[in-house]
Amino acid sequence: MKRVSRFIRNHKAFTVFFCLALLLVAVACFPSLFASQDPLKAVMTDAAQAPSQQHWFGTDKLGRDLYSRVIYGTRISLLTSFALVGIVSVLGTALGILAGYSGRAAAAVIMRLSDMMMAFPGLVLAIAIAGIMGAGTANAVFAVAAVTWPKYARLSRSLVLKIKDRDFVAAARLDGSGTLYILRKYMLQLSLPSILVTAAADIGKMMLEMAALSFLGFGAQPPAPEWGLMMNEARTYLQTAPWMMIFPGAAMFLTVAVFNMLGDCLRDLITPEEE
Amino acid sequence: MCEAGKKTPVLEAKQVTKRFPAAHGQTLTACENVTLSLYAGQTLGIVGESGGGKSTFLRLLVGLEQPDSGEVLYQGTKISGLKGKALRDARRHIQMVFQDPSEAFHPRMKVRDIICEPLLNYHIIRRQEVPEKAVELLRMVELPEEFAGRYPKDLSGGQRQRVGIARALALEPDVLLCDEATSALDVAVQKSIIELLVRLQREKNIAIAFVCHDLALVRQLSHRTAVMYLGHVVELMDGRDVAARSLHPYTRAMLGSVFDLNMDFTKEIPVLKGETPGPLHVPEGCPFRDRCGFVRKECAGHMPPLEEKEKNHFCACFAV
Repeated sequence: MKRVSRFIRNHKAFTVFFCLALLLVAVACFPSLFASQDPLKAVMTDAAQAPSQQHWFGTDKLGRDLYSRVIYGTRISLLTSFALVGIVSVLGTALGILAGYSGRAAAAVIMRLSDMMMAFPGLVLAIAIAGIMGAGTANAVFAVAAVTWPKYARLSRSLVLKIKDRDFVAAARLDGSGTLYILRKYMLQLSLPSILVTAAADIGKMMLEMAALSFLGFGAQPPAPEWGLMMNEARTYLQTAPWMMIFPGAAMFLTVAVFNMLGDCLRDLITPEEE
Repeated sequence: MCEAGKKTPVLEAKQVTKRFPAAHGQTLTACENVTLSLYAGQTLGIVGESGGGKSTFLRLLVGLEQPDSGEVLYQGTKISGLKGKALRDARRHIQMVFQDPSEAFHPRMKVRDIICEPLLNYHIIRRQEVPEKAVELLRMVELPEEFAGRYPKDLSGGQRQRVGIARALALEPDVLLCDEATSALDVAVQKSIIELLVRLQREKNIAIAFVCHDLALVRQLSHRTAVMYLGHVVELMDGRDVAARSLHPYTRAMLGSVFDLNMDFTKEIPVLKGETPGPLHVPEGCPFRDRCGFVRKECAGHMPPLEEKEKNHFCACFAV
């Protein structure tokens, strides 16, 4: 307990953003506790109402309660961006470590592949994938993952290249450590802080990217309460019912800001410990 | 080669050559035709300037590098060129202490886990036995037991080097290779590490190869001393002969640059002429001929062979 309170005192900003992020996660996990109405229930007579006692954020063009939709939107945004960051960081790190530690042939294959994927603009690939496999959240995740993993592969490879020629790795090989053990205990463990910092900073970015795809119609499909999609639906009502745009936008902005700040704090927390 | 015929060497390098490709199509010759042997309970000192191939030679012995030609034998069995499990089994008997004790350990492993890692790797002890075994190993290298729970960054250089020795000796190897193991330490600590090595060698009958550029230190410590210059062994002699009876011009020149309290400061200090050409530009013939005061015509032709000039004293020089 003492250690926790000391940690909180020494890392105030981190604690604040961590709590906010936890709150967002809680909202995402149990939206029904926070929402006031069913996000999908359309009451046409209530269409495009301004914020009021009954509808805190107003209603959209189909008369759905915007506040509840924004709350439920947290789930989709957080889920997709967490899944994305999870997939690309695990996959990219594994491939990068492999490329860094193994011989030239494997490295050449993996790194050329990653160069190729990096050259793709994410949105264009997502449009292509949506064209082939149909638009949807899962396909959008797949498309963004396909162009994002090289970042982690490159990062972890460069870290491994720096570590692998150091004496303590030679020492590990001498004292009988197997390759898998070295990869896990030395390469992965020592590159993990940098990977984590990058991943934390990427959550917000992934969120924006997914929302952008949804906005363009390649991600979440109606009637899903997704922020990007909601903003697209609100586009035509910008002058008559601006709240339809403002509230999902503000939710997006706040969520991304919280996760970006958390990522920054995490970086400050981890980096000085490095050396 | 000491008491040749009576003993078989524990570890033996036969005409080992190692070259590395360097930038612009050049080749870096790290070791050229090196033949040296290690005997149980004896120390082989290897001296020479930086870039002389000493460290590479140790890495060849231990299988971190593979020789381009020649072979490394452990107890008469070839171990160079081995891979995978065979290499791992062979290595168990040959361990190494590294030069820089701040670079030799996983920065986030506790001393306890560092020194027991080899034992866990070879399934000699179980994880529950780590604390107990760690204390035993720490005691062996004269470190207090409470160091077991510390991180290497919390220890001093000399303490870290003791941890390195504990790790290297955990597997009870027959051969211990010390790659400038004391160079990064200050003199008093150096002395205590050397004393520790000598004691452990006596107790466990280990063969030690001690690479160093400090001639005076090697003279104290080693039974045999090899002098390397640009990848070649130019002289091999009994340890105590280094000062008084060394023959090769390079060794003599190096001795001239050893400072001593009793030396005559009125005399001019002899300085080795010129720079080492460097392992990228090893001259044809004798590699030392550019800097040698006794250079002859045949020196340019080919490398003088390592010949027994006196009993148990080998030297590669035409002028001797």
